[in-house]
Amino acid sequence: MPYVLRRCLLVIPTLLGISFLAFALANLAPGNPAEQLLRRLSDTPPTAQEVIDTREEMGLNRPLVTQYVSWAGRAVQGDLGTSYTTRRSVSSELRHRIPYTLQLTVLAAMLALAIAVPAGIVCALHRNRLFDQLARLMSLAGASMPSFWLALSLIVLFAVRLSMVPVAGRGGLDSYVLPVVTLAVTPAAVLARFTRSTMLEVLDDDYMRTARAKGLTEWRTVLGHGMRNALVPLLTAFSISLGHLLAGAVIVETIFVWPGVGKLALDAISNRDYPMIQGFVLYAGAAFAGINLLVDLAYGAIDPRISAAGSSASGLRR
Amino acid sequence: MRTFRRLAVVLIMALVAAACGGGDDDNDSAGQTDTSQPAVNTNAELKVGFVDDQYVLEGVDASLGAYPLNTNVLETLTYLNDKYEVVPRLAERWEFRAPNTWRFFLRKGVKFHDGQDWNAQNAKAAIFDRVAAKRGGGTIKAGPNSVAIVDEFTLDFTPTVGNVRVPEQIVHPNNAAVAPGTDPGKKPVGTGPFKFVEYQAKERIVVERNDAYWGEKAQVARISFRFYPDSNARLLALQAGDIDLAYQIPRDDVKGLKDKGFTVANSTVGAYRAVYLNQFGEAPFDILKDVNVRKAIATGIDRKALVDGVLVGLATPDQTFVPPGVLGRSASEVKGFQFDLNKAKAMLDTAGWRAGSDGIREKAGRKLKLVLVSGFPSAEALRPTPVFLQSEMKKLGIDLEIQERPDSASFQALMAEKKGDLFIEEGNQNDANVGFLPVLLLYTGAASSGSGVYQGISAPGPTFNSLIEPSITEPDLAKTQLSVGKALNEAITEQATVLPLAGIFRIYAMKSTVRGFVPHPSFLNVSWLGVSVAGR
Repeated sequence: MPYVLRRCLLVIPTLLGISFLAFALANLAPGNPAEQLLRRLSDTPPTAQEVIDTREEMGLNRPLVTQYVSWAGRAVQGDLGTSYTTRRSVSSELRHRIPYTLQLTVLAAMLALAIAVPAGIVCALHRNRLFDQLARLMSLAGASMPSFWLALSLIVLFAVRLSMVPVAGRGGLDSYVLPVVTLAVTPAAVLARFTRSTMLEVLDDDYMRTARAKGLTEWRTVLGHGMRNALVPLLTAFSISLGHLLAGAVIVETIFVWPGVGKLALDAISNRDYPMIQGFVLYAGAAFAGINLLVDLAYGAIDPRISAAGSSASGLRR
Repeated sequence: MRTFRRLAVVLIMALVAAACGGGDDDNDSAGQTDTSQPAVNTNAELKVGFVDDQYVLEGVDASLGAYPLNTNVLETLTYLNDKYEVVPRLAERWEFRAPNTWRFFLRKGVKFHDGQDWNAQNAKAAIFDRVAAKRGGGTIKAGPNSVAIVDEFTLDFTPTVGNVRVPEQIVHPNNAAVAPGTDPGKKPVGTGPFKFVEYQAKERIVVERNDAYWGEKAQVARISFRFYPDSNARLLALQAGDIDLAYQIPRDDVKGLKDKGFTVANSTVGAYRAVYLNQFGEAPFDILKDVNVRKAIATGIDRKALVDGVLVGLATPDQTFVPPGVLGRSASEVKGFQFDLNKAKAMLDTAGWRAGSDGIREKAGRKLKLVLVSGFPSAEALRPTPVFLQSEMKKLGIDLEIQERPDSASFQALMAEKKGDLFIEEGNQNDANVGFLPVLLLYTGAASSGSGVYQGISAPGPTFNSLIEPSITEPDLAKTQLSVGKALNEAITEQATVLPLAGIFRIYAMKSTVRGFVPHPSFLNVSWLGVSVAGR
């Protein structure tokens, strides 16, 4: 069976396993979804009969396994159920929200790469010089800075004091600046450190020396030979960051009023909205699985040696 | 390299200078002292920052534009004003007709935004048939055959069960009139002073003035409501000039906003912070079975210090968990407890709890240790009140452990299992039904309909039941208030199963250019009719 097809098929049991775990954990969490729903609908405590009727209506009186099998049966046909809280179909809610998360994810990932890779290379080439020291300090700060603090600081500076961008909300291009920068800082910091360390490993390798001896310029040597060999571990690190971004950034989406999936998941958890939690977990699992697959395929393009070995020993790729 | 360093230094200096230099700009867009008194601009757009978007968009519970953020597109038969009084709106008057019917006399000359007439036939479809389709027929207990049309502008409503509180319950925006044949989850069409324009889920909802409104016309051309779930972002949006008015301002930020020239307005009491005491727990949560310990705790809490310190003066040391405005004159029936630390200590001594070597009281070798559960609506919302209580309890010789729950679901799960001694929460009063909460949460008599969770730990017992029962069947509001006042006194003062800590104000902040805003104690009933914007 072709490698790609095998990987795609493996995603199905993986997602089923993830969704069952999520289902079990959500049901183990304390709280009654029927009571949560009724409180939310009128901001008043419900009567006992209302709670009983609503539990029945939501199908929560059935055994857990029955509930899960029923959900999974519909899910494989593309029906992820109806949200307890918004009363809309989970698929349509996700379809509506995923593009917003994707917008931020793609821009933040591009920004992170645009900063991290050149910075990491320059740091490696100028190891322990001032730029390297400063960049390492900044990347340490970026990696350890809480995103809510960074988001609010950026708002105070650029929106409140300088009036350059809006505080929050989706609007023109300027409304993307702060959420994208906030999201990009941590992956940029992590990737910059990663790029630096992987580049340092390859800079003194024999093939680099050979390239220099052949008369290639330093930049061509670094970019054409060094970077290509450093790309494989870098891609692995990048894929992990990308997966996290795709799963939604709860804090950034909440502060910047961005209607993405991260905020959707947070609301679903606090409302005990089981169908929505299930739907989100399935989406996040699929996003991670999809990225892993793409990265595996990309390894082959970057390093033909992996491709040659891959069809028979794909498990060794990562 | 040197050039790069110079560039970096220049860039950093420019950023710092810009950040510092912008400091005085705060008031330019927002909080200027209003010396010139610019005239009201009836073409202005008002931008309002609300909390989270929680509209339901599908099915019988669809509430776009009405609940929880009321954009004044839809209207109700009766309206809850800022003093918790029920006043006419789409009904001019109403009367009770024994045994269980309410006759509503509808306002004439009203039209829906789509041109349909407001009359008894359309009122039946717009309100009662819609509410009847909700589970249980909604709070008003409407059924499919509940309405009889008397004439073009008069109808009789007979709930499916005995319900003498209809005019007080029907103020809730969930009972608003939606034009027959329209979808309130996609485009709400009502009779209100504003018409629906657009909605972007989790982002904004926009309405515009209804120039054909039956009453006084709105003072602004448009209102754009934006959702800011994070209170810091909401506050910063106000300071940046992105919005003109913001809901739910954190108390700690009030002074800073006032210093910057913003107007901060608080309502009368619309919510309460109270502790429910577990008198039916099993060990180790059985200490509060002793009423004397409960009363000692109630006596040993300095509510004034709580209000002045923790709640920065934006609350009142009320002794009732129903806002005094709802109780009317009968609020004085609830006596409560005067703070007296020495008396509280003496009460604990009498109950057999003597001070131990570490300052914590003991009885028969058992430490006086209690668990306070915090989490409704969330632990974050209640901070730092639990810590204040912990400090107050320590003065009494009580070791109070705080257990925070992340959300109301996990809080109530612990309450249902009776795993805690004290449960602190902040609840709201969104209608004028005076007995609603006490009956639902504490009553255990024959007509009880509550979920039993609160009763399971704090039901005061038969005397409370008999005192409050008249409120279930009495249509007269003053008599009902008296009945509830006496019952609350039994629960709070005599049995000490509920310990009200403070009445909570709703806090709003706005630019000085915003005029005529009436801070409502219930978020659900804010009126935008008289609000205007000057000089823009």
